[in-house]
Amino acid sequence: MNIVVGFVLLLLIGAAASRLTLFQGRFSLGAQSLFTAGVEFLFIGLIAGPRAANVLSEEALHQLSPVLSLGLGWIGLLIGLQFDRRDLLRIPAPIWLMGATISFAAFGLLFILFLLSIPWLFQNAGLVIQEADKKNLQQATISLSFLLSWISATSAYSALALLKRNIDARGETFRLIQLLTEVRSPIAIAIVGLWYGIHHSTMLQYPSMERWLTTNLPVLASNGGSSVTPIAAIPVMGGVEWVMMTLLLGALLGWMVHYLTNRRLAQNELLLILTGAVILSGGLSSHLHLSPLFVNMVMGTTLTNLPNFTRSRITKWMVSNEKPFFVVFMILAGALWPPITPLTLGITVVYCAGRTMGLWMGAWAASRWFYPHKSAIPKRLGLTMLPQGGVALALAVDFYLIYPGALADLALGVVILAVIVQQVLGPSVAMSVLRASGNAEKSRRGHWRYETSLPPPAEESPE
Amino acid sequence: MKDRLSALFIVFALVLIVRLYPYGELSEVQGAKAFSLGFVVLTGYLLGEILAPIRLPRITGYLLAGMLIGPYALKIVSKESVKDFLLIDQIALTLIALTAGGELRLANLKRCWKGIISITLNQTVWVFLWGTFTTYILVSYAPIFAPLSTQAKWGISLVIGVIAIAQSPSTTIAIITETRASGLSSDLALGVAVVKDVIVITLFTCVLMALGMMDQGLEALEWEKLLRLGEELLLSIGVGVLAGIALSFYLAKVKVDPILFLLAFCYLVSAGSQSFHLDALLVCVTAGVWVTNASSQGRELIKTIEESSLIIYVIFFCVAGASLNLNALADMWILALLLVVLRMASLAFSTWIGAYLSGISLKSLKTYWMVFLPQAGVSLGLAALLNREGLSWAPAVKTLVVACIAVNQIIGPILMKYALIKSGDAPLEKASTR
Repeated sequence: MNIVVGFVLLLLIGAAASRLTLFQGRFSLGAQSLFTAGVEFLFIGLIAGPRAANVLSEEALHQLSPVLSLGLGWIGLLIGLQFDRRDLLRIPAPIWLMGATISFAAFGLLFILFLLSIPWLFQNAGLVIQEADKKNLQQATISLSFLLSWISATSAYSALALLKRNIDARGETFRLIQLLTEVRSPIAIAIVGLWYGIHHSTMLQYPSMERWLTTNLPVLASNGGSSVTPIAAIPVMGGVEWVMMTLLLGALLGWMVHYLTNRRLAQNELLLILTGAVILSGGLSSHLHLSPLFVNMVMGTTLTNLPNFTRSRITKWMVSNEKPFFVVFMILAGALWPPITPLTLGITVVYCAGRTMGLWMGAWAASRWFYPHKSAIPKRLGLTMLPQGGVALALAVDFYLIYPGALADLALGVVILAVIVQQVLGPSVAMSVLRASGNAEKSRRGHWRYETSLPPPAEESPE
Repeated sequence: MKDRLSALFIVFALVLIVRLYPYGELSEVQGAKAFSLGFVVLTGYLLGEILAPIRLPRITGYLLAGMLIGPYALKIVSKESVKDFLLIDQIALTLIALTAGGELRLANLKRCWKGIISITLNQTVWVFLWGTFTTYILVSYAPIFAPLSTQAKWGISLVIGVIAIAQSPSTTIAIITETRASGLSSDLALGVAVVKDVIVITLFTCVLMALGMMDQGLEALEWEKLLRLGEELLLSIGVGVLAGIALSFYLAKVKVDPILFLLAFCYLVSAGSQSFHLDALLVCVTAGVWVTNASSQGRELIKTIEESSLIIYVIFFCVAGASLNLNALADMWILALLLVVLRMASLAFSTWIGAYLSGISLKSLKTYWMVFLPQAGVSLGLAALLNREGLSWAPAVKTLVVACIAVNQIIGPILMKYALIKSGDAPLEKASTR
């Protein structure tokens, strides 16, 4: 299928589906949360994808990978634009420390749990581990654990907007939750990006581990779990080179967009410049096996820290025009959805349980160590940050694009399931925590609407 | 200006980085399409912006960018990538045709319909005759065509005579949009471009039939071909009306994501026209005319298209520039230049006669003929059709036609903008602003 035909088709499906979901009805909080985060598009993608209707065949998905990069790039750019030093300086240092503590606690606990459970889960899924395979098992376990543990450190902003509207969540605590959600995504993307850099050559040239996993793990071998052939025999950058190249490209693209946007622009000029830059960086990233998410985040960070009087206008415009890109991204991610297997389910259970504990413990410790008014904070603060959405999926898809193979399939399957589970349960848990601590009124069910998965842009600051 | 030059420098620096890194040829790897598309969009836009302060039309910048980065010059965008963009190109063309139709207000056309008919007919007759005879003289002396038979030389002359009439509706509407021209001169230019599009397609079919007759006698006369063409053109208008009704209904009643709907609509028209042998341009122009004149949604249509028109124009004209075979221009530049000059002379003469006979009063008649110069897609399409006829001289003539179009595409928009400013339709102070 031609890439443009596919793209137009996706836009049509996306537009139709978004209209269908626009009717205003009374849904449970979990269902509202699913719609708010655009999870329905994952299911549309699944239906259109190679495992159901095959409208988006394997070949079409391969052809549409630049569109996927565009979606990732858009999310990365939006996240990068939040890294404005002026805004960052306005966030008090305790918040940063709390955010980092929660992220590292969620990561640390889950990483340990995964290190202990994944080999056992692999064995239960039928993987025969011989003495010679131990290195492969170790490599697969560490890679998967590291990636999933850092993905678990992010939370969705859309669920907070939903809570605010539905239960009138308010006050200092709610603002604290918003800030903690805001600061954790960039930390996770930056660390995963650096990890890609450090392990780039071993991750790209990992045929022995990939081959071992795919051939020995019956689920993956019989189900075609590894749909994409690993890239083995290509020249690969070293780790430092990878990081330097990412920073260089991101910075250059940021400077370029800065040069073009440091004057007042018409809407269609802004559309052209930003779309052109994101498509170009997506192409460059795919070509050089860099992370489109990370490159665009660096681009956004560079752009927002250069003197630019249209800075907040760009962010506002991007957030208000995010929907088509986000919808297409979710549909494509849904089309990539690997089959649900007992192994995927097992890892997802560990993921959700470990993440819940990690967030709880991390937030508890962080509020006691760093927050000055600790008595005002609910004891189960971490449980208000359970929902995950676009950023978590973006990290999983990013890995899938750079290092296609069995491991990426497994990670994507786990993250998609976890996002759905946590979007359904997360808001209700958060609501009960906020209500119990007096930070929210009784339910006042309002109409829901699509919310961006990222925080709203800051107000225009005088420059 | 400094900022745009710096941005352009960065874009090329990125290309250099990619080229220097030994990770395979860009044309063969994943990401090449996205890279090429992003590069086309940014380079085209930047060159257009850089040329704007010296009063050159932005589309000249887009075209030059396409030529520069395309497969015949710097080869940053490969032939395969250009082919990959053809669908975007077709969608863009239908969207531009929709704009052209949307800009054709019958109330405005009422005051210049005599001018449209008179200028169209005079240009058709005079440019065709002048083009045919002067081409015959030129090909008789040109070393590449001299050895051909007299019959073949007349065939070449007839083909070039018809193609000389053609005018690019897309370039015409792009320049009118860019300069924000409005008034008699721009209405006339747009009206003539649309009518000539239909005439040229019909005449070209007649010429192909005449060529067949020259070769095989009266047996080759296929009236069905002409009838079929008539049917196709009428059907295109009919489908255009239906499409216009659907479009105005959507814009008036549904109103949801209109730009997404328009993109899908243009894709459907483009793909459907190919399947059912319709003229996509005519379908969209008719649909646009219907929306503007038979519903109250004309303004909404133009506004919706304008929201995304810039990126469409950039991709469309950049791809047009990249598709121009510069080798052809290098091979036949003298002959092409002579033909272009002769076409200019015939256009000037026929436009003057047409305007005089219709009694229409134009502010700057001396330069008005320049608005009819631009040539692009239709002419290229006709040249490609000729290749399919299996004539021995067709490849050489196609090269010559492509060379002429390249010259016309470079100078056409510049002169058209100049003529619109002279006519007072495009205010000088607004000429370089969007």
